[in-house]
Amino acid sequence: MKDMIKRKAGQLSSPRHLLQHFYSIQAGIFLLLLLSALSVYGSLLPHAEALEVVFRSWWYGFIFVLTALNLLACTLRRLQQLTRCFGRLGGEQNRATPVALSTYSHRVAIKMPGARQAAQKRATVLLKGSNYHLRTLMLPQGMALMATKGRAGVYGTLVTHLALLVILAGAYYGALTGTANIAFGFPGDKIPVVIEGDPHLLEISDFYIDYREDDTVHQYYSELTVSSESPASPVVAHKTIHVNNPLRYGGKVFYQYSYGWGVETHIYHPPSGTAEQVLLTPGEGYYFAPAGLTVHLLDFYPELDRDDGGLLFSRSPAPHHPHVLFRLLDEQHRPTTPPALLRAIGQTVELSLLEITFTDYRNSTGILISENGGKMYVLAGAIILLVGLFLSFYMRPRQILLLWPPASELANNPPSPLFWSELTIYGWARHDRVGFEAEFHHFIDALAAAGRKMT
Amino acid sequence: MTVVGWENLSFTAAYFLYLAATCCYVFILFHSHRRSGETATLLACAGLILHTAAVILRTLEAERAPFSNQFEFASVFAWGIVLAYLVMERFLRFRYRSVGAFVMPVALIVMGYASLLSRDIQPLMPALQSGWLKVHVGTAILAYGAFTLAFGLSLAYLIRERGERRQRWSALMFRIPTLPLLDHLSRQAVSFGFFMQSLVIITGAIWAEQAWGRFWGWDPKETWSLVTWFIYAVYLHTRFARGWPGRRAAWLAVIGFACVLFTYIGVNILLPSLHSYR
Repeated sequence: MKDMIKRKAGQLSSPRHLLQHFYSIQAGIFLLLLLSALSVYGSLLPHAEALEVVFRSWWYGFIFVLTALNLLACTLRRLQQLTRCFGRLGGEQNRATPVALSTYSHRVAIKMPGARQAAQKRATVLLKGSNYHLRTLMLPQGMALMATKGRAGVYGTLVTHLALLVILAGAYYGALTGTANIAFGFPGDKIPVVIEGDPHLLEISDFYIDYREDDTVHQYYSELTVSSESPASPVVAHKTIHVNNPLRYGGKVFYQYSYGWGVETHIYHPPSGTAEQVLLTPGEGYYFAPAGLTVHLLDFYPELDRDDGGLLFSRSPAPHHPHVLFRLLDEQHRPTTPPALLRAIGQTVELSLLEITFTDYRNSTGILISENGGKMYVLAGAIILLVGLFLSFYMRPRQILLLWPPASELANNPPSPLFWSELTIYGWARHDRVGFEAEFHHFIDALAAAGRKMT
Repeated sequence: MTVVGWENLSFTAAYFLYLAATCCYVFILFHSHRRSGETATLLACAGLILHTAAVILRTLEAERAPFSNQFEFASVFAWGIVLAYLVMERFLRFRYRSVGAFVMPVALIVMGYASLLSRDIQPLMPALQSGWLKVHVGTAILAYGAFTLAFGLSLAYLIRERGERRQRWSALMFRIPTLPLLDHLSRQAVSFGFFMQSLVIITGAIWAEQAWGRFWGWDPKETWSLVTWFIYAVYLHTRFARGWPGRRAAWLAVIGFACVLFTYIGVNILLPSLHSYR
């Protein structure tokens, strides 16, 4: 008894046994449920934290790969069975092993009026109407009409699971080799980019926002030009992009990602007579050396308003009433007095021996430049996945065999309407057995409508 | 009356027709009455016709597919549920109308939820201005309709299974289809819904790549649609696992539907998401 327990414990812990467990469908179910639970946990965390802690962690990816491998292994384990099934639906098995008749799950014997040919003709019409492929076979048990359909569906699960592996491989390849950077710029700016290993320039020719009558944004447009260093053909791509309509060139994709504001700022220092014109974006500071001060632009309000608590906000993204909030910082980056000032565009403020004028404002555009080599594999995997699912769900492998025993053949030779033909109908379905049963009995009823059911 | 007025009228009429149909379906669950069954189907059909009219009128008024905010999606979600149910009823040759008592109340609740939401027609934000909106949300409607149907069938399964297990045979039990048939129908509904949910995820990923520059970003909506997909994948695999088909599978269909509801409502309300279109 002790020996038995020891042997059993040894079996359970043996690598082969563990591997068998891993290949089981129960393990697949466990892994899918585990992935679901972990994904739910990740979705409840703040997004940046969720990415770091869960979704981009090595262990989450590892469970994903394990799940895909498990599903594939489960299918491969059944490959022999699938191949046998595929062969069966092709009719080979029935020719090779006539005893296979016992493997049919449904069997009904009926008697039809008229010759075998008449019954065969009626059955052919009915089965063809249900999209069955027909072939006539000479079996030792007699003359047979074999009807099959959904043969390709046998491999549906295999295709589906292979597709999942392709998607995962593509996604990992894309994550490892892909790049994504956001470049902000104003119309006229040129941004260096490397495309297919060669240096190129991305020029923002223009950027504009299309506002609706109610001042909501209809669309953002950036006019982009990609040029190479080749003097023969400098411009290689040109397009006005907008959200949902990026520019694709040489494996790189340029997306309309965001937008911002820039304020033309004129700074004048009367004691030294120095003046400078700079373009500041919210959050940005400019160190003006003659005064030893930094002009720090805190925010830009296209249509300034205050809420009940006095807090500043913009009523709309359209620049109907533009204001800037700014401050001055000393050499130690401490704010001077007053800590922050609000001024309308065009106004001049005299502060700490400086004359500051916010002369104009401009829109900047944010372009996402990305490259993802795994994209095509993911897309191909997705298409294969849909094909696999379609095969699994809607190509249902089924087989109906009509068998006329030799005695029936003899009785009907020569054919005569006075004769009865006896036949046995066999049915088999790989899955969806309830659906097949309904179809099978519907077929028998239709076929035997003029005949007499024996069993 | 304006187009909006006609739309509101059609929507309200559809709601009350669904309410009446639901009452009839619940009635036939407890009383064998052929006429009530026919009336229930007729009321549901009439409701669906008026609901379709409301959706079409909104499409005309908004000059776009009505898929862009919570109200619009709730409305077409309910429409998808009723359509899926009536297709199944026709497929079963109107023999098992009692299933309606498990499906129609869900459609009614979703319609009720829609009626609480703002019906203002808002123009589409830049990210939604894409042909993929119709494909992505259109497939979601079909997927969610099928999953709701599977939920109703699984609920019926659990009730009948419990009765059979405890040997408590009542008239109600005989009005619910047999366990193998309920399991078969539920599996068919989940298969269709799973195919559509796969399309929802794939079309959403393609669209996200066009609009946001990435296929997948683990946004809560994306994550929950994947969780839903996982749960239904488990459901479909239960066929091959010993001890899983039947009751456990039915519970999975119920859990899967809870995930569908959370993906649609919970994520929009509780979790910050790029997909939170109110």
